Amino acid sequence: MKKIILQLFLIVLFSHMLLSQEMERVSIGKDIGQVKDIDIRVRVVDEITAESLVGATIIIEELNLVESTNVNGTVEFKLDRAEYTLKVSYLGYGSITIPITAIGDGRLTVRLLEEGIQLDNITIYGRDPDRNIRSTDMGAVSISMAAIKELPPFMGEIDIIKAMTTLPGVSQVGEASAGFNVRGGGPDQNLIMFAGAPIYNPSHLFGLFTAFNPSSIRNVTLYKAVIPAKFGGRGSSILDISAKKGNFGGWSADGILGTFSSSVNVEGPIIKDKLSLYMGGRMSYVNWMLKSITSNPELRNSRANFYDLNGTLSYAINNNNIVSYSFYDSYDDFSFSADNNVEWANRSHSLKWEATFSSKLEADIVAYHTDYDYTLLDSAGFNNFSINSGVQDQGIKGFLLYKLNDKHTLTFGGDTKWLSVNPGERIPDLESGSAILPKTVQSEQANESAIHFQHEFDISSNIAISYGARYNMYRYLGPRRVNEYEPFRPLNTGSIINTIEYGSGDVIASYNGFAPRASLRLTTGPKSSLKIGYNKMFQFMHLISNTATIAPTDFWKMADQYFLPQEVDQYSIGLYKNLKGNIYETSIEAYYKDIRNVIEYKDGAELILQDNLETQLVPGTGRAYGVELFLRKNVGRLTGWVGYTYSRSLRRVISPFEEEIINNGDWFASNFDKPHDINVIGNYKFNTYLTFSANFNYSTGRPVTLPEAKYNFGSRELAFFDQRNLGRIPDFHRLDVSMTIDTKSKKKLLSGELTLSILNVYGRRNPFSIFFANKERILPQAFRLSIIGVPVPTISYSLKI
Amino acid sequence: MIRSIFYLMILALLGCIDPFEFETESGELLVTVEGFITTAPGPHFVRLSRSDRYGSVFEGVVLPISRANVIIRDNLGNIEFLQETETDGTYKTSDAFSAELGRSYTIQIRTAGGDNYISLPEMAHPVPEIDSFTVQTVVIPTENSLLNSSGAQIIGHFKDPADEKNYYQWLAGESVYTLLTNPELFTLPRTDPVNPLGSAPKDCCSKCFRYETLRNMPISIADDISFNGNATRLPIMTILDNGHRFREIFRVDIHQMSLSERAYRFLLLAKQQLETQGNIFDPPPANIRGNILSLDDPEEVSLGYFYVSDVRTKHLYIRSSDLELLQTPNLIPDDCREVEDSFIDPPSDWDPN
Repeated sequence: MKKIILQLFLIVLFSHMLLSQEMERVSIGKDIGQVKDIDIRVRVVDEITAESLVGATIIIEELNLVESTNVNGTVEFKLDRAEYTLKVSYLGYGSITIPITAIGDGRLTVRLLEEGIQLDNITIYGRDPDRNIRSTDMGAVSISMAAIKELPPFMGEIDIIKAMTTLPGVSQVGEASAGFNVRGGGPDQNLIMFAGAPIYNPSHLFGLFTAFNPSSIRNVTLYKAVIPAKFGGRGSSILDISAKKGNFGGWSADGILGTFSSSVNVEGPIIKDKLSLYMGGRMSYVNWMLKSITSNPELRNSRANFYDLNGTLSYAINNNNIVSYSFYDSYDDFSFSADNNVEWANRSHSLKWEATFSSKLEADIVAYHTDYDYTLLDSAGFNNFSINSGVQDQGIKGFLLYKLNDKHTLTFGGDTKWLSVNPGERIPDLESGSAILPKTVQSEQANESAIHFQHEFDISSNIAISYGARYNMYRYLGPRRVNEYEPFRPLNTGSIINTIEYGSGDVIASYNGFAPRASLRLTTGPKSSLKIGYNKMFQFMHLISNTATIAPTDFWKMADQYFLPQEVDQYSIGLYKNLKGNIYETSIEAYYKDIRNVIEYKDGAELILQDNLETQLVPGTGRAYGVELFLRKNVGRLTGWVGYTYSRSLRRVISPFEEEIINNGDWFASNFDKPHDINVIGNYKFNTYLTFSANFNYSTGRPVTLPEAKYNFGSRELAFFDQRNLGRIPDFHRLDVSMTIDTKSKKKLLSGELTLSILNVYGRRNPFSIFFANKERILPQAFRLSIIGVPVPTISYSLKI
Repeated sequence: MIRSIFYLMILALLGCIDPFEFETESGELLVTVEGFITTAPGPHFVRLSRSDRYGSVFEGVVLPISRANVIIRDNLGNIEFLQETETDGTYKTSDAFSAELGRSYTIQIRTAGGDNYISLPEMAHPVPEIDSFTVQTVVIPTENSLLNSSGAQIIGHFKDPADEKNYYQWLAGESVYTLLTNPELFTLPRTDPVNPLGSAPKDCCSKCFRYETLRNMPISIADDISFNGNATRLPIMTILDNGHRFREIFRVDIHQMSLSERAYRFLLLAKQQLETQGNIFDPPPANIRGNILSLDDPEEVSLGYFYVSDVRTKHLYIRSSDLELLQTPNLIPDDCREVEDSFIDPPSDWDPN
């Protein structure tokens, strides 16, 4: 049947008073006498950027029908000929109510305006109000950029990973931590994707800042429990960051002038309604501050530069096909003194095709290339050298979404990627007469592929299930020389009996894994539901790091015959209830995780430029469990949330060889085991111009290995460490506050937002680490390293043209 | 004001470190052995002590183990008995005793309480001679650039043997330097009954030779993994300028020693622990496994290491002209012989030219 397309642009006007806009009645379709089964397709887009809004809610009040938009921002309804009221809402956006009259098959485009742009009085947090209750999703958290921007900034910077750690089940080891830990998993078990491309170390200044320019992000979703089958490759979570597309309608720019860095972002149509561009860049001036402000000699000789650059070019072939190219580039350059230097860079490119073939069938295909490189330069005067390492990842992935009818949605697809890792290479600087020998640790190659499907099935209005599976295929490939070790002996260089040479492309080891996922939702009341889920993940790479957090010196190791793939099974259950007409959203979730083949370190492991890594590490098992309580207030002058997590993350290493056993083979706390974690986020809109926000975090101190004795050694005293992680550093707590003033003005340049914030208001010296040293002329004792030991005031100004 | 806020922020950025009080459980009293013997003539020293609680400053004093029977035995069955010196817990070999290349050695200890300990055998591997030294000035910046401290960084040149894995340790032996004082500026003590603080120039002496044992030197070790078989040069130690050492001529004995792989690993982990800064690059604390075992209770943990080294020693003379920056000495207005360990005659082998 020929469909009549009606494009309707509904513009929400400036309003101080209303939560939702009342619209005039709209008739949809051409009257050809249809009475039943009228197909109405509603597409929800961003008013400014014309981007599709995925997961927006549409409620048809008369039918008590609630639907969410799919990946292309659309929802299909089959309606009878009648008048209806559509309520459309989306996180961080003003909601809208549209009375419609369904006459014939047709389409409706609803344009929503981002909160905080003009709708002033009310902040909406969270996805659509009911979504937490109705979907079969478990542990999927989406925060809109608008919501993230409301949090007190970290050191004056809006930081998406720091924002994620305010949610239950997500934590960081300390203040300068690039990585994060999800439900007791290691920092390498999170897959961070920007525009579909994995980013391996998105951190600036050793993790003090996250290397994502907030302006370049449209939306962030973290999957921490039942992860959709289309995602895989990491054990704990997927952080899916979608890139902002340029506006197809008109040009605009915005900028943030911050304390440590500034950013400029430009977007607009190159060809109106066809080709749009978004470009954004952020650059720091920490270096300039180091040079010009301090007299401290160490700081004067230090250098710290970083920048990041993003862009997206989107081409709308037609209404049903959008092709977009995105790139991501981040760079850090850091030196503590004139003679050594650390640099790291991430670079990714991705090409995405989003297609809508029919009202039932959609497709999404991404091809990407990503590169992470790290360089350490030592130029102390002689014996100069540099060490490089890095990882390259390129792949293609795609899925088809087939919406059979109101009750059944099927997703299936596949992906494949080629990985190559350079674990380390030392290059002497021969010009300076360096006597250092060059050394290259063999690079690694691997191919990882998967096919997947998922079926979402609404059995009745009270019961829905979603199940799926991902079948992983992994091959570890030559060229490579592989050591063979004497059987029944611990792996060490002394027990090598043979070396086998593999040619280029030869399969050295291969692993296949079937990873099912399932979740069940039972509606237990009008505003409450119970969900249970199971999830299995495989991870074919390990982050080799002998520190508690992610450091740029870390490198990746692909699974091989000695390092088996990590396997994670997660069982979760959750109870969700919304109160007072969705003003309050509450949940309790509990989980248990079994983790196999995690890596632990032998005492004093030497990892850098190590040819035989398997001799330095031992495989262990892990388990993690926890309960997460969450209460969120979505509407009103005061909004915010309280999250409490009780969790444990434990490790165990048992081995037939005594030298490999850790802590007598007992379960011991992992480096990031922090049983109690409380986050309180509050946001108070004083009036149209003034907003206050505060963020308080308390968590148990992380584990530390305490000395069991001290003993003489030469003229010093040494600490005797035996059992790992039996002690704890003092508890962490910190309060951050911020105030945002909206400097409304008719003059565009003066109309912006001024944010003043104080990090660590009461100046607590939260220890990042406790260490034990016998310094010159001081008796052996414990020392505390605090990253942020004082209140830090920052100021930033953002404006939009 | 803004400057100081920024400064605070930057300091915050780079972290701050302060001592931290914490409570540990009562420490374990574990037998600790530390010592080595070399191919040079004795006496060689071994210290025995008992570990104690790692806690606040005034608790847990590491006590020496006195009145133990200590012997060193080689694989041919030769036995050397060690004598306890005047310093409690320190035992020494005879002057004539030295280790032989190619033999393996163990130390055996029987405490006064009757507990027996033994070390795993260690063998001395040959170490190459140091060909030469160069000296360069290092400046250690401080808050006030006028008060920067400085010193002499010693770079050793030697040829590493290609066909084997080599592990090195460098130790500073005895040092001696020309001490310059100003006896002509001598004043009487404040308590002098006749002329307190009165000028009383002395005729002698303004130039002595002062002996000094350098203390608190960082552990200096290397493996040849990055320079195997090369003629190499490595910074082996830095001697700080205290104003007096480098005014004329400073001499130090540099010992270049071989280590076994296990001994190297022990020293490396000890060095790592002593130099830890608690930052994101630091490895987590490691159990530094020594080579001492209890003969009575295999479960008992003993600490420390006993190792055997080949040693090559060379005198190094550093003249004031070798350094680009010299610290200003504080005046000693007295006869230089009044200064501890100072003598008017040079050492018998003093030969700076």
